[in-house]
Amino acid sequence: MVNDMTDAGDKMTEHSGAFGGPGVVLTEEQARSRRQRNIAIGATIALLAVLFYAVTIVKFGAAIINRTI
Amino acid sequence: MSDASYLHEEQAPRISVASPSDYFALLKPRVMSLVVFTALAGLLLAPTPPHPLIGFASLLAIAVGAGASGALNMWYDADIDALMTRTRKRPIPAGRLDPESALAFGLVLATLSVFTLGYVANWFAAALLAFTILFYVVIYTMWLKRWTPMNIVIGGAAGALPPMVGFAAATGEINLASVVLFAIIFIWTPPHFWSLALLKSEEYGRAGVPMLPNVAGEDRTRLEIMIYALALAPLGVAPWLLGFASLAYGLVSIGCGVALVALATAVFKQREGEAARRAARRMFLFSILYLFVLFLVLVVERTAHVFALI
Repeated sequence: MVNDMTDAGDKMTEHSGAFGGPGVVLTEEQARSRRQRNIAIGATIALLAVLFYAVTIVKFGAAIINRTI
Repeated sequence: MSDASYLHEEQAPRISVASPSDYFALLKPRVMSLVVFTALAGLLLAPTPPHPLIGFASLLAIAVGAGASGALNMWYDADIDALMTRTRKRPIPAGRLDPESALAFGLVLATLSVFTLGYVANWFAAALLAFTILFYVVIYTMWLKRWTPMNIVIGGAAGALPPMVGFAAATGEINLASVVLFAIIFIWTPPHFWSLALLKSEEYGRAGVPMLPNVAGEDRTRLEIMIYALALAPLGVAPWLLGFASLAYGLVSIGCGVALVALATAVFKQREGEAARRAARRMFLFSILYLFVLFLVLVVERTAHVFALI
């Protein structure tokens, strides 16, 4: 199966090779909500990465510079 | 839901139109804010407060854990939520989000919150948070809520645990002060929800939820509200009497306790018509204010104490 996402006309299309048909054509609302969810997930993961990085630095404290280089 | 009209209805993939705000609504943001507030009070009770970032991350984990509980509650209760005006606009009964997505969302957040708290704070606090989530979802939502009119008496423990989780996150243990905060919320919960149940008894009855007014009658409910208010008023003063809150807190808690008992008395006396509904509504609204004010004074006092330590 080949997934192909196009932004033209604010529509996203997934071609289904098995049936040779048009596949699933998302409505504008479906495409918009999917994009919003993807942005929210991405932002959350980025914030979590920053938070875990900062917490790790704080937990190490001064010991973080006490290492051989 | 999809444009795949060439497929049969049962073959067509269900494509979600849920927005991030629908997922956010699953977290019960208002309940979550109360949880954060009470957990903050518990965290600030620590003799030596944690690093601000550790404290913030701990509160975030507790908030997400509370949100996960809300999402799992909405997943399980979608059938009865659809029957009550107060809850039928929630994402699942409104048809904006499918139950499986809510279940997955809740489980992922619950796991994430527990392991995050374990990493940033300690594993005792994480275990307490896991217990809180399990208690709310399994003991309260799945078992007690549809079975006994004492559902919120026992189930209220889940909502009362956050101050203990907050204290445990800061110290790795629990102490008497955190247990007192637990007790205040635990005793506060029944009169708060029973006041609401007096106003919404028809809806709870229609949904088949055995709230006290539907099972034992409104008079018995009014008596129980009175008894719990009489127990809560002195308990609310305990932080001052036990020495972990100031005289200012003591005076505020006494004033709020007197008002609470007066409103409970009005609920007990006014049993018919609009006056009865008004009394129940006032009791319900004031009970929110009561808990908020007590914990606000505690948070302000303890924050001043922390800044004095710096």
